[in-house]
Amino acid sequence: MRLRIDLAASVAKDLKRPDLNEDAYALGDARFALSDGASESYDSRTWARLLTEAYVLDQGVCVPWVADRVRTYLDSTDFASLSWSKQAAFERGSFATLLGLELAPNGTDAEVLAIGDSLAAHVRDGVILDSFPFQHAEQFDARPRLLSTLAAANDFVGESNFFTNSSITWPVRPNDQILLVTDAVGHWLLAHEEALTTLSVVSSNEEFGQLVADRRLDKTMRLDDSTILRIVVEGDELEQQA
Amino acid sequence: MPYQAPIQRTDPTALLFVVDQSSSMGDRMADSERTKAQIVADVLNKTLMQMVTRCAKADGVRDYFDIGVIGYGGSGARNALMGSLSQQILNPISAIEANPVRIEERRRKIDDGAGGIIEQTVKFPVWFEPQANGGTPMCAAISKAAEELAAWCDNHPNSYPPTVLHITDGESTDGSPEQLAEGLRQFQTNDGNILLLNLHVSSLAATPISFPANETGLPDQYAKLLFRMSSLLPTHLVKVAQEKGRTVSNESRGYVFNADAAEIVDFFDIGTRPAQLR
Repeated sequence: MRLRIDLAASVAKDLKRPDLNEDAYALGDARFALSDGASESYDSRTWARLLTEAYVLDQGVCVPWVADRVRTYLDSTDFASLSWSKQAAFERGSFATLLGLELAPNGTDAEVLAIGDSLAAHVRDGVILDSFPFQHAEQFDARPRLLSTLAAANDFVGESNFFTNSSITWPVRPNDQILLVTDAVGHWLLAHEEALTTLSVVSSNEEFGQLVADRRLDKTMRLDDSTILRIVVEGDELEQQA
Repeated sequence: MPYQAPIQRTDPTALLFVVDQSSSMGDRMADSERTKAQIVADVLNKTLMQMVTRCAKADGVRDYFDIGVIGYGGSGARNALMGSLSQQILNPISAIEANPVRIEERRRKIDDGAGGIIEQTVKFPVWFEPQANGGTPMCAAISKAAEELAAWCDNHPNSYPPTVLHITDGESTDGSPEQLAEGLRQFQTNDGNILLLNLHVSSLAATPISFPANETGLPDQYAKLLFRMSSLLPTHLVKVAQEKGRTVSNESRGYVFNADAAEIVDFFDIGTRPAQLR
């Protein structure tokens, strides 16, 4: 089996300022990654991009992996040239989630890594079989643990239970879908029964943008940068037919 | 539910500090070489710096807040900020960022990551200078705050409502401020009424009383008056206070009696955390 990206769409919280969207995603041949940069960060957009681009090249997230990303981030800024406020904000750090998906070497399992409150959902025949790291909308209210450009804030990656707590394996079949979404969409997906059907028929960035705008208007979706990756599991037969 | 409006550049919120600058603020704080006025000024400057830092991004400072400081003392109640910030009481935070009176360089010791300690120079912007003279025209100060914020609420109907952090060490010398405070708290946006939080700064080495739920335990009429002047803490500020280890409930008011230096820092920190920045 293989994974194929079916939809990648993202809408900024300020519809007039897509340039300020702090969500990022990266699409590899066999891996997909999504990251939600925290609002109260100096440059979470850059940090989110760094994390997603690194994940699709190397999914082995561990202490040295994160340290390398932090080093790349720090090296990208000339600290001495910043104003006092930017220096202070830079030192306060940047924070982002990381949600990664790949097909396991056995070819029949999907492996999900989730740090923070971006959500993966495993869908079969129009039903959510499982979601990770949350199963209930209320769980989005807790303060998430995020990857940071401050090295000390990433100590949790070295804890012995990190992979147990942060990853899940789902046996997949052809035509299954896996949704990777940032928190506003994830909360809406778990809180509203009709959300899955609605998301299943979205076919473009424009349609997703309209959906998000409508749900913000009726206040069922939180105002935040909103991103979805919809990934389809394809079987060998389908591959041959294609 | 009030106090839930997301704070964004199109709908900023306002923070107004109202600071007692009467002569008694020149007294030393308990267990300190420094005066109450100096400690309050230091915490206020640090708070402004932290708020600017929260809004500073790689692409500029986002105007999530309008900020003002009213000082009251021998010269009456007036804008306590200087330079171009003295033209109007409330200024967007990008203007605050751009216009400190000066930037001091202070030395700090930090861990070098290899078991040693190194000294590092950090920049510390100053907007507000300590002052202590004259009486305590609290009524004039509350009236000025109300006048300013009534107009602000009219112009920002969808915003998280303004927060007033009032810092005093004494009794009003121009009448009772209770009704004026009640009037101030009546102004509102669609997201709720103005929040008035009061901090009583002390030079006594006595135990502070933080965010009480009733007047019991407050020592005198004046403390009880400030308690009655204070807003109920909204739910999210109750949570912030609880995260800081405070014993607070949904009945707690935004009032701290007999605050020492640590209490002043916490009061500013809790009072300047309105909801979620978007």
